[in-house]
Amino acid sequence: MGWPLRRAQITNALVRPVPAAAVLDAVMSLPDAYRETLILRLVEGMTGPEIAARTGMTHGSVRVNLHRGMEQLRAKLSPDPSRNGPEQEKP
Amino acid sequence: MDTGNNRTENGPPTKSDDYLWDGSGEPDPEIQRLEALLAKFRHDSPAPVFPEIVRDRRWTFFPWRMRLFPALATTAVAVAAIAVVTFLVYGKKPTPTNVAGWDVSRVAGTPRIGRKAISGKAGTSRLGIGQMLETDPQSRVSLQADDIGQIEVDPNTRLRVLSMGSGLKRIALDRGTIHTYIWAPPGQFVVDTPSAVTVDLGCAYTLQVDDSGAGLVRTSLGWVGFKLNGHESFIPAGAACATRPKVGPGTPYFEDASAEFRAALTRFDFEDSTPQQRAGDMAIVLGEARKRDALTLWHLLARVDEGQRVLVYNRLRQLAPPPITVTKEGILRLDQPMLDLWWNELGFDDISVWRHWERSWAGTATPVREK
Repeated sequence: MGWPLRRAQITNALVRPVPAAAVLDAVMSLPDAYRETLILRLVEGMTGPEIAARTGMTHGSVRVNLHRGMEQLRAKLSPDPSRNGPEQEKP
Repeated sequence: MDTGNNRTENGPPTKSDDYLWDGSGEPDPEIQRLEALLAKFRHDSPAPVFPEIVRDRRWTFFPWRMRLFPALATTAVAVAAIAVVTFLVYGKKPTPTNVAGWDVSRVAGTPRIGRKAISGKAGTSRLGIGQMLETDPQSRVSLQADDIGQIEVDPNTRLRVLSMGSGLKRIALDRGTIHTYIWAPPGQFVVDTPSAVTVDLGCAYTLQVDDSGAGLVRTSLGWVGFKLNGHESFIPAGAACATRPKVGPGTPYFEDASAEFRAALTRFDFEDSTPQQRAGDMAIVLGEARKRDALTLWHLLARVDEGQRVLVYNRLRQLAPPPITVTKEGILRLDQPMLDLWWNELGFDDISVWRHWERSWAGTATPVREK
């Protein structure tokens, strides 16, 4: 077995429950706009329209922040290092 | 009205985006899992009201600002001059390379590198050669080195980095539990414990060491080599092996073997039994052995006296017949090439990987003692 394959096999096998504190740490490490939007959505349980009303942002901005924030959060929580690329440009 | 429906950056919104947006559409299991995990941090009080964001502040003329202009301009020129001088003096020096070591990510609590606590705000820290990492009962960390693999460190664990780089990558586990996922080539990642040296042969495994120095390795993927003072054990996925100070590695066994089998093996390996007791324990092991327990019996060939070796040979031959080139006489005199040929017939990994490691790293199979 080639070593790149082996690495993929091992990282795929690395499906261990991620503790809540680690997830929160990952959210807190996101750029400001994504962090605030995702905290309101995932922690406080608000919907996109509620976040828009609360923050004064447009629906479109909230939607983009949620989408990009989730993308970066998935990358940070992924065991596959290839997904942990450089952070995207801040909106 | 702006509903944001066409604002995702990669085209039209998906069902997952709809769920993320307002909880409608098909639920995304990953988002649901994150919601469930993070809900525990929800405030009981209403969410804070954020101040309105002022997007465009126009310049307003104030006479006092004009009075500050000469001072600000002088400061700016001074700063620019310092920056130019600094660049000319230091700019052409090579960028320092990163210190070899493991990237440390705090998972919980307050782990320490030496005397320095790793806080949640610290991001990733570095564990370099010679440094000690310690977790208390509440803390856990994750270590990663891109060319080696990942190690998850449980509470109450203390480990040290002994070497890194292009050769042998070596850490010492003084006590506690680590879960390793290694993608470095076989034989390059080694963990010293007080009672054995653990050699990665292409695997994921958990290694525990208690305060007395006794250890246990449990392999979940690939296989591991355990070695001390001429005692060597190979532990494939699904198997485990204990080790004791001054004794070294015991005999590996599959964890689904019968309780009687495992208890008799533990007594045989580590208890100070009489010859009669040892013979009784060996009879239990041979009687309880299944086909896949050939793993244990193969190891026992070199660990029993000559009288018992015939019994082990006969039982192993029943469970897993040797290759035609392997003779009874050769096995009874512990002919290494014949033992290796038989091992390769058992359906585990190729033992030549281990032999190569032994030739490459002769002398490393002695744990580095704590200073």
